[in-house]
Amino acid sequence: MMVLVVGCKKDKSLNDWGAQVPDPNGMLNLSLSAEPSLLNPILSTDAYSSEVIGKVFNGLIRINEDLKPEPDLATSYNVSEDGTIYTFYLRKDVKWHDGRNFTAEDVSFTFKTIMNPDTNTVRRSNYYINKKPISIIIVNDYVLKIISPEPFAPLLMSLGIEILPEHILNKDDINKSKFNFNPIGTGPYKFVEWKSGQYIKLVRNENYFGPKPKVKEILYKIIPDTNTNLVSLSKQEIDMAGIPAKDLKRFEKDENLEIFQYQKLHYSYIGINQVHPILYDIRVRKAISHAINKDSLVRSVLKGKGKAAWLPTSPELWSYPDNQNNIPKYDYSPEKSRKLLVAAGYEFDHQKKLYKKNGKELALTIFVPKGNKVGEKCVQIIQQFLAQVGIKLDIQVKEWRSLLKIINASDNPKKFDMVMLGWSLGIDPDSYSIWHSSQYPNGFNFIGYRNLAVNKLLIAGRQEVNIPKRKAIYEEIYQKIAFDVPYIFLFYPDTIIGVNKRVGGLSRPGPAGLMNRIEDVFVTKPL
Amino acid sequence: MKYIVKRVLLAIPLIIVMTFIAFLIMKLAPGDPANMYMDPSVSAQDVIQLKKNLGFDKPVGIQYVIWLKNILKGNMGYSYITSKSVFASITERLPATLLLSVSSMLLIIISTFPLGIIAGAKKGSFFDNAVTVLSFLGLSIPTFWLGLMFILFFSLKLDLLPTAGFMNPSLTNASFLIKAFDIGKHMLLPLLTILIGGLAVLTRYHRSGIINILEMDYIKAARARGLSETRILFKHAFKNAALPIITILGLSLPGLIGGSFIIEYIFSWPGMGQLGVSAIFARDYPILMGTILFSSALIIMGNLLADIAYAWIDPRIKKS
Amino acid sequence: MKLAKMSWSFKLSAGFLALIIILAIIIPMFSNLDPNGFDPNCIGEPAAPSIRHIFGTDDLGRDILLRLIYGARVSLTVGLVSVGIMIFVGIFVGTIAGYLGGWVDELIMRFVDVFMAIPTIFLILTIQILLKPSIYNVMFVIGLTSWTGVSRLVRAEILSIKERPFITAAYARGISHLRVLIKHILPHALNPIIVASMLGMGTAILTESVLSYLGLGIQPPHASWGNMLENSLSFMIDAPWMAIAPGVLISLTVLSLNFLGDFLRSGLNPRESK
Repeated sequence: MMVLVVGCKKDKSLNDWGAQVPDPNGMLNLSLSAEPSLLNPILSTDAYSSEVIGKVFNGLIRINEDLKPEPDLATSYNVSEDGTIYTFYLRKDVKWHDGRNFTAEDVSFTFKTIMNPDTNTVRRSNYYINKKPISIIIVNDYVLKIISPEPFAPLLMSLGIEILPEHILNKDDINKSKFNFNPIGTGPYKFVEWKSGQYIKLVRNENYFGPKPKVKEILYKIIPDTNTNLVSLSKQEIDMAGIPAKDLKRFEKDENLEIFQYQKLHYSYIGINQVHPILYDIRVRKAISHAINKDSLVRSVLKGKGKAAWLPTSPELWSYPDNQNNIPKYDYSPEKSRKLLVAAGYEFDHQKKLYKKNGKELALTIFVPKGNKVGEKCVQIIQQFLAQVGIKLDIQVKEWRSLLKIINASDNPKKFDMVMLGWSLGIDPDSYSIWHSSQYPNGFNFIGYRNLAVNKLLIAGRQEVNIPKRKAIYEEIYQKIAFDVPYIFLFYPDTIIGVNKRVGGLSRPGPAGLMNRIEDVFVTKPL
Repeated sequence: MKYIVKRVLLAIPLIIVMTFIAFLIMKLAPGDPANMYMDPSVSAQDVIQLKKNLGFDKPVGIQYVIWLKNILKGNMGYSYITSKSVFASITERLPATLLLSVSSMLLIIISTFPLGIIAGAKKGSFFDNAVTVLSFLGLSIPTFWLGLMFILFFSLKLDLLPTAGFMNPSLTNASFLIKAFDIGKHMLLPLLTILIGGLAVLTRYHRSGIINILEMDYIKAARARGLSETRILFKHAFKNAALPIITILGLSLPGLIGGSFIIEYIFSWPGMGQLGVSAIFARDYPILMGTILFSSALIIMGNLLADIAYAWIDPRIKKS
Repeated sequence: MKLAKMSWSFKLSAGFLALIIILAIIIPMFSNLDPNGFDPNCIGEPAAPSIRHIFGTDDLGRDILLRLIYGARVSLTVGLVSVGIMIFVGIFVGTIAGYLGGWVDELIMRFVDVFMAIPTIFLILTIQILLKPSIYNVMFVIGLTSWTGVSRLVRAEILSIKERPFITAAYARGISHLRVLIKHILPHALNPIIVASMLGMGTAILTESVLSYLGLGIQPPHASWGNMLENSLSFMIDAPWMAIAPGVLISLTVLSLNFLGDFLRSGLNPRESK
């Protein structure tokens, strides 16, 4: 018996899944919760399109499991001392899915198309530094230089955008081209078909310049309803799906699934209108912060799958300060909350159990976008927390675009008190558009935050290319922002993904996703 | 004939008025597709440029006139989101919706006829009461709840049917028969959900129709002459059935075509209802206007056909 | 004899509705329990039905029975007011069309045709998005999109009655058109209108739940049957009691309304024998 058991010990690299072997003709079944808009990296902005685009196209650089940039279509690149010249040395063995060679011409074409005002893209400004465009110099077929008018650290990430084929799109109106529904890229997977409302099918690119992809076909099913999606996972109709924290227990018992948990580059927060007759007062904002028990929120809403947040950045990013002792945390303390409200001139009305000033109740409204279950639950809990302290909070669930209209309107002051949202962060820590006072009322500083010292630091952070120096600048920024309480940072939710055990070759769980290297992923079949 | 032509002619300007009202309402609805970005790397300039490219900077009236002119030229415009032709976007979704609508209508007609007749013939019996209660219950249950429960029961628990979708994608190159069978399997749960809600009305009509007929004198005379009960039932029942069926069908067309959205959403059924509603949320006006135009035209056509059939079946009904 | 035959379903339906209405009115009057309140520091899992919580608790620890009762108030109000709007607009349009006749009638009825041809869900969504989500808008929207049936009914009644001898006699006696309308014609339309109201209320309650499913119904933390049902969907497997109670309540209430409406239709209409 002992001998048999020892003899049955399997090679971990192949057979973690019992008696199964990788299937070279296997199909990976994934799902999308909405239809992608366009399979064109410069025109689309939604996550569903990006998901598919990432398999079909490549950029000059890509982000690896450690969230660091590494060369993709380039073999190497360097940045000049002064940070203005980016030189890319391109691979010579890359072919487009239709067989043509990839050259620097394609790269130049892609950037020029983005910068062309007739292209319906919102990414144009990424390539203009202080209103001056970048210049592109083709040295030869495989060497390319990008000149930035000023040193601008975030530019590198923008240069990583997926590259389009010049030989196909140069004669076409890119906005209306059929290419957008039948893309040709350089990536590990080729586009096969897209049945609207049903699925998108990709097939392995046998001539991929990187390691040959191990899965033959990828199928993206379009499943809008979350419950239906989870049932599909249980029934093994799809191989991977996000699992809400409250359903985790049930899926942990599923023998066919492996559960992964990691943080995405995302934080949830309450945005507070700084230009507001009640909320302009930092004491009131601090009082609100003290009234909320973030750990309780993480426990009840995220079922413990997440961490309380105190900074406008994610612990997964390199820019997250190592030492957080200087970061002010207005933590859960109803008494501190009440003291601050009294200091701000409010009186407690014992009958109504509310604070009042000049006869008016301390009443605020919070907007939350519809469809965000976590958010809707959070605001109800926060409503109770604030009620316990003596602040009246009304909830309004708003349809997404209606909410955006209010937040992005050019009014000053804008028509909201507080709003419950989240930011998905990019790899680059630059958050000028969220915190610089010039980005109000047009821009993403929709709360109207204004701190001149932070303004200066934000600009310095963009211009500094040296990493340790940049990190120090951002540490100061985060400290100052946390001190001013423009947002109430709530938490970093964990992402929980259930993957069918027949899938292997996954990346280390992290913000770069489980299938960061799609060419390494394989599916197995029973022996 | 003149009657039909008159009806059609009157309908056209009204459709145009309705589309204008719909256009207006959409424009009044807060938010527009160019302003839908919550991506901090998007600058205000880019949004303004995008708006200009899509023609939003023109006044509302002009935008509508442009749309109308294009429609008359046969050009339904392009989606704001995908820039794909509206006509193409809708026609690729139309088959799925029509398939579901027509199948469910047929199924309802076929199943309510015997149910209603027998219930009416055995008035007051247990069967009659059961049919009444069950069909009314079906009318009263929230569809999305029912749909989800079906998925949980038939698909998850019993593993009899696929969860969602239209067809198994790996069957793209399979034979017609295999494809049809697979689509049928996917269609079962949505059909069942629609069926349960749709039994009540027609069943009641057949039932009361039969009850009326059975009490009439000429039936008593037929019985006296010795004709079998069954023959009496079916011969007269059929005749009586035709009219209400056509009316009800006409009335339920709008519900079936646009209102199938909930069903399409839950079961991931790639139909027009789904397209239209997501267009509302995305403020994709060209798609929305196109969907409204299509649905309305289909429904008006359906009603017209119903009227013609009506008049043909019962020549006494040539309304003025 | 008709009453006796239908008595069991009629009695049950009427009794059930009466019970709901009474509970919905009485309990909030005499209880100071907060259906939306909970301790934010002690939120556990939804609890299955027990002695303390007859229908269990939801995911925020709130008692479901209490919320159902408060939700009844909301859902029934939505039903009543939407139907009120529906009847008002329906009678108005139907009367003008039926009474004035001629080209006015043609025009209005074509308009009604086209209005009916636009899928209701599109209309409802579009309008709801325009307005601030609130209980008033929900009632308004449902009422505004369901009046067409009533208008046709009213018009049909008016058309069939207005040429009758006793009506012409009334005019001959010098009674104003308005009085004739209100005193002599409309009462005949009362029956179908009452029936339509019952059925309309049922539809309104169902529509409110669909709106909640889409996130455009009654807003949290306030309870309505529709949004309680919507919230419970993702808990169907783990906490089925959360979904069963509101679902069953909606179904039974709408069922009762449908039964009553159907009974009234056949009971009050002398032409249709039962």
